[in-house]
Amino acid sequence: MSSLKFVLSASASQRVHDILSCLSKFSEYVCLEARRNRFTLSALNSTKSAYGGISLSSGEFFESYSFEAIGSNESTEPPRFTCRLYSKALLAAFRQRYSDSKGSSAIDRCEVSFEDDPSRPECRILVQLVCGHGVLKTYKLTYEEVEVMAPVFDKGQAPNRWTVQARLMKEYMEHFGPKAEGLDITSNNGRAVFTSFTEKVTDGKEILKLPMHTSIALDTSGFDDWLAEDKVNVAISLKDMKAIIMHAASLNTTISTFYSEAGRPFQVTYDHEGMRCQFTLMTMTQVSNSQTFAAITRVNNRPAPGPTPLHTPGPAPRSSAPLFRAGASQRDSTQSQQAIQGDYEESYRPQTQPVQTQFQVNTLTQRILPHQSSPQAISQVPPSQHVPQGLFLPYDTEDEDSDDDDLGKGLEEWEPRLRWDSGCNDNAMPSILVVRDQIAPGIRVDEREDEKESEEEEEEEDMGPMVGPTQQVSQARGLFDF
Amino acid sequence: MNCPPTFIAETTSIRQILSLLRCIGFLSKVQVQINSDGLTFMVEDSRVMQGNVFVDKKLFTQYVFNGLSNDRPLPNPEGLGNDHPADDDNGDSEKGVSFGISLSALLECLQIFGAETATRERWNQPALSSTMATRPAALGTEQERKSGKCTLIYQGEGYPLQVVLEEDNLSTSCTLTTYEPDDVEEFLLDQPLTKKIIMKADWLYDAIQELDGSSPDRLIISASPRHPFFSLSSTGPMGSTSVEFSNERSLLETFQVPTPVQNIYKFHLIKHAARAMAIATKVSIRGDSRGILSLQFMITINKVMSFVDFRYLPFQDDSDNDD
Repeated sequence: MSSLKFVLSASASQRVHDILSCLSKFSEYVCLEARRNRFTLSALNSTKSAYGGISLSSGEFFESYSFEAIGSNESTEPPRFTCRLYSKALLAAFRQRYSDSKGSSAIDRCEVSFEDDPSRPECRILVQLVCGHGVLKTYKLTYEEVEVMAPVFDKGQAPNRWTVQARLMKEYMEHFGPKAEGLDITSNNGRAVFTSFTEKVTDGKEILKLPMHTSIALDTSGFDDWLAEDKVNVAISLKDMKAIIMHAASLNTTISTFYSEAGRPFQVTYDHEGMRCQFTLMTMTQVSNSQTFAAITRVNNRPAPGPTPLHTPGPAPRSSAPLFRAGASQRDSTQSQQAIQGDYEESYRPQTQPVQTQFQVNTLTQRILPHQSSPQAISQVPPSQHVPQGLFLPYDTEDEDSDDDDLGKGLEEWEPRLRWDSGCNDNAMPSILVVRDQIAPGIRVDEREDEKESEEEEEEEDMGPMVGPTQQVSQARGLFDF
Repeated sequence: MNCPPTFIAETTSIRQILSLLRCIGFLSKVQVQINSDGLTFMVEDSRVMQGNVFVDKKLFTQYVFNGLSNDRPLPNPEGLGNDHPADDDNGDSEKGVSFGISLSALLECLQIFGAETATRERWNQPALSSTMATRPAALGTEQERKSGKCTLIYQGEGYPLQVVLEEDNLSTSCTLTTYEPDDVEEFLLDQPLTKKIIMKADWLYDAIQELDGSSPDRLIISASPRHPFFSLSSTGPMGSTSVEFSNERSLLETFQVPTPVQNIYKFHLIKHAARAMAIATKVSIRGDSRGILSLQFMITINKVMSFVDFRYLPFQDDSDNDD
């Protein structure tokens, strides 16, 4: 049995609101973890490709804080209590209150307590807002006791890093439209280059709806620190990044990022008055059959000797990452197609074959670390243990199952281009998706000589509307080739 | 019917009337009753909630009502007094006319001026005062208010309600079909009251907003002569929420609760009153022994006091309300 009780000032409870509204953009659940010296709110998105964790220091952030764990063996591990709630429920308690406008809802202080008492069946967190004039608002929120997952990020393995004022970064982000999905970050001749891109298609029959890339190149003098290797490209979710920056900017703080290369995690951290915020985002992998990319870069019709796609055994994780290669080439392609070819050919997987698109393990999911979820734990992990593509192992809890429930949403958002072929599991290609219409009609004949032709043929017929076709290369060529 | 019409009234305060009517704008059909004191608009939702707006004739520059010309028998003679209970003592002096009308259509008509002025004021006021600093803001809004004129004409039973809106040299005429009046029986509060609480409407609005966060189904209103004096609470799938008000003079202007009392109401019906809560200055919360709840809002616009009244039947836990 453990009990937790803390008191927040009015401004701190507003901070909690800001934290929650940021975390709620990642997941519909918020996980709480209480320890003696800190209280952590965290969220892991349904595809496990983005994690946000904000630790509140017990001494600095709270007016008072006490966490007692009775009966736990302190010698083996520090006592902790973890649970999870609907972020909506917590946000209702810590909602935005414009105390100035009416004066009626001014909060004096906020008292939060919960007891993990096995003798009482119900799990409730008690949030009491003591307001002026003797108004008392009480929330009893249902929580669910779960183990909390957190990614392990080794900063030692992340040589690329930069630091910038969040406010400045927010201004930069304003260049990117609301519908852009990805953000590519690279350093080019000492300039910081941010590119937004999207791979969204409305439905199979239409061409790319927003084939627009917005790129901004910035002098690194605006950054407090810019230590990013030239030509290293990473692409992350723009929506996630925006959510982080919005929050950081509201604190008027400075963000630091750490990353190594595409396919490896990307971390953003910032601190503010007893808050320690860490966000770990998975970057998109390089194996690219991206239609956007293909359409644009299909200048020479020659299939390049691209890297063999990785085959992940079992059903591929429905990852968040559109397969995406070099942002530099993407960006440049609109301006100079010449420049990109070299770059492109290295990684370009020929479009002219029946394409086997598969996702890499693009989640932060590779390791079980139930008790190393603290930020401190992160650096303790020997680098050798790192698995290139992820940081978590799918944790074996119900957690996992329920997360799957909302997978559809994330998937819809991210991958309207690809649908799962339910028939796939029956044949020899469990993890292979076949993208239809990817073959330009003109080149189909000669290119389709290669393996699995008949197989593909069948599948194409079977699947029909199942697989969201992307644009035809021929169509795209008409668009871009003049 | 021959002229003169049963009712003709002219006003330049459409905006005020519109704000009042918007308080009950959550339903599309309204019962209108006209008598010599003013117009009463009444809506009923699910037979468990009633919203009542009284538009005083003070809000009209010209107000003519020839009530007795109407020779049709009124189906429910008490209905008159009901709609405007304050007039109970002299309510018989004059019979009113009543009809049903589409509220959404009426609001839309009145918005031709009203909404525009309202948005203009809300959004462009700072801009106006900065760019057109020569013109005092107060005068400006006053002029805007005066600029539109609205005339309501009702010939009598079976005739449509005519709304004529005039601005400068432009005249817009709207003709709204009237319907047979519904036989709506007003929920009357029994004496003695089990609770009577007067407080700032803001407080109630804030509390309802607070509870709304968990999107509850039911609202529990408890009042007690001891602590906790007055509380609103709700239970939802994600937990429970309660807002308690202590009996402080600054908080509860009037607090008359002889014995502890607790009633349950449908939350979404209470939320219908949110618009009124937001614009009202004070609210009077009354309840009787049967659990009927009255929320009466005092809305002061341009120094004219108006009242919007909501009545609720309690939610019965054992025998489900068939709404």
